[in-house]
Amino acid sequence: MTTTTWQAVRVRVPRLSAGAVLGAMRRQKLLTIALGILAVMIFLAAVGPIIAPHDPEAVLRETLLDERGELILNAQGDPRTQLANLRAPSGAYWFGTDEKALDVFSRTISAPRVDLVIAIASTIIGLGAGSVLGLVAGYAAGRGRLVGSLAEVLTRFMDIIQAFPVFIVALALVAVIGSGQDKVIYVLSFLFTPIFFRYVRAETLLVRELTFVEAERAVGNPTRRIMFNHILPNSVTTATVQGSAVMGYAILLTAGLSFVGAGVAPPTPEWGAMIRSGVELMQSGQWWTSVFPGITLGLTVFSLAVIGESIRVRWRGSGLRGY
Amino acid sequence: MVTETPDATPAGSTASGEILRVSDLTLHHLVEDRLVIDGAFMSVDSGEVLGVMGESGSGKSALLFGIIRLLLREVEQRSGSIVYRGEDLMAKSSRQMEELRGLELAMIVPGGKFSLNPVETAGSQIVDVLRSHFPDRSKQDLADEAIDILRIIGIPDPHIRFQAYPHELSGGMAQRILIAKAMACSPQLLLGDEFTVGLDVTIQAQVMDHFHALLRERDTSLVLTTSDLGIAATYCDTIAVIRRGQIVEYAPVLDFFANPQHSYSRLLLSAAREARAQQKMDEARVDVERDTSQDRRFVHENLPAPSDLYTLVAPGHLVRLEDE
Repeated sequence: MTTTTWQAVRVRVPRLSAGAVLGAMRRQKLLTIALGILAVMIFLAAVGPIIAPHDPEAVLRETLLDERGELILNAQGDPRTQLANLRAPSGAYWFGTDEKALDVFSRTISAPRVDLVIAIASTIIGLGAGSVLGLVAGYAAGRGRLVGSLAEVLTRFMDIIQAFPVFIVALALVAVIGSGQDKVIYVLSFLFTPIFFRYVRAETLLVRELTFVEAERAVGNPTRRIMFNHILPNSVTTATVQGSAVMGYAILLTAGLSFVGAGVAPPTPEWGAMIRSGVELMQSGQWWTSVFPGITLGLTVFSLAVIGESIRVRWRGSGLRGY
Repeated sequence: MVTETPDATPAGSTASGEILRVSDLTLHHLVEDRLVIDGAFMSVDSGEVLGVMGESGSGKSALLFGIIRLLLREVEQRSGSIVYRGEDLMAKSSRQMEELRGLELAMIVPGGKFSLNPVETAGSQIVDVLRSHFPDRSKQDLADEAIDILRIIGIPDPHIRFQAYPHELSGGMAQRILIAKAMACSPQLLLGDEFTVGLDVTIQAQVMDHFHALLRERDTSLVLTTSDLGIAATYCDTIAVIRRGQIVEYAPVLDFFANPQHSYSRLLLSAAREARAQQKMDEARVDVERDTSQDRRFVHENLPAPSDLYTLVAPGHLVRLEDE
């Protein structure tokens, strides 16, 4: 005779251990590198201007020495100085200095505060606005005659925004409302809204027909709660997954706008504007003013693209989809 | 077996205990251009369980969705009145209906975890329902009440289930959560749409027994659609048989099983004779016969049915005239 006794089995919830993290890092080298780059950029956005060896917006001057290595004094008895412009990378100026005698290294590591803030803020605002509008448009689509048509008008308006080349619209809008960090954020948020809007609207059209939505209504949830508490969390995933990719796009657009002189104006440190300032000098051999901010910009966009792609792949494989 | 009976309702009570009165409800499907519900009627007393029986596609679910006024966009109401506790639901705006739903009448849907929001915990879904009707109460207060509700519904370890996501629940547990959501604000009238379909027989009996006891205890009425004769015989006080949107027979449960009049009702019962449900039905019939007080409690003297289409064969027992 055997007797079976039932025992409570404690289910182990997988914990995040150092070993597991190291293993994952070994398996996904590219993602690890991308996350590392992004972490550095976020760190620089926080403390870049503080740890910079020179003030990123101050013109550098050098004291002049005579043949014996002593200071040359002017009439007032102060040492004579000259502009330290276009110095090649050296121990004193790691990335060299630009035409206006600003330190390229200090500016390059201070720029994330401008570029990353624009990218994150515009993506979050775009995601927020796009989600809410997409939810409303998706939920109202085909409902009443009036609400339905309003939703349709909204959807077509979003299509129209997307029909224009993004960069051209951005230029035009900046021309209208003016340039500067805050203006660029507004313009990019406006341009990103339709991207997120379309994802959320499409998912909402799907989710609103699922059984559980009818069930929520039948037990007495009002429409507003059904929309925001029950449909939105289920329809926002696709849009969120795009967030990282859009952020990289935002950095490129900001740099592009500044490059043509429509974004953030010098002397504020910004990668696009820095690249622009060195373009003519490339031919005369002063490559450092454009190349260093260019590489940093490229690495940041690359890391965001890799992270975005990895989130997308992971999300698709996780079975959250096809719901 | 449930021994507890509510004290208030005297035998043969009529209008005083009536909670829902539906007459001449006609629903028209615009796309398919047919009548989903054709002149349906019912009268439900407080504490009564009305079983709506019929094959799939007969309009059982549409009838419930018509009563709670959540019709598909392509279904329109041609005629009919729905009176809940003296109030005409047809005269209510959609906002007023939103306030009534959950608080006064609520629906239990089938489908287990597929009818639960996948990204919200079971507990917070119940809190959501409570908060829709009691916006002033604190979150902690509502969460405590939600756990109480889970316990009352018969869910073991309510604290753990409160934090569980739908995918972590078994089918039976998910169905109980759906019942808990419908009962959260203690509505007086519940509409149950085949909500035990998909559960295995033992779980089904467990869920139904507990739920039925709870209804008795709270004197809550239930309109239940089912194609399961066993459930109809065991838990219902009154049976309505529906075919192609028309109610063909409406009778107290004992009368129905002892003396089915309409040819379609007989067909339904004979279909079960070959199946396992027969045994359960016989048992139930014995139970029902023994407990005559239960049977006589819900005999409707004045059902809102047109007299030219229905004949009265016994008190509260109506049969639709057959076509040929």
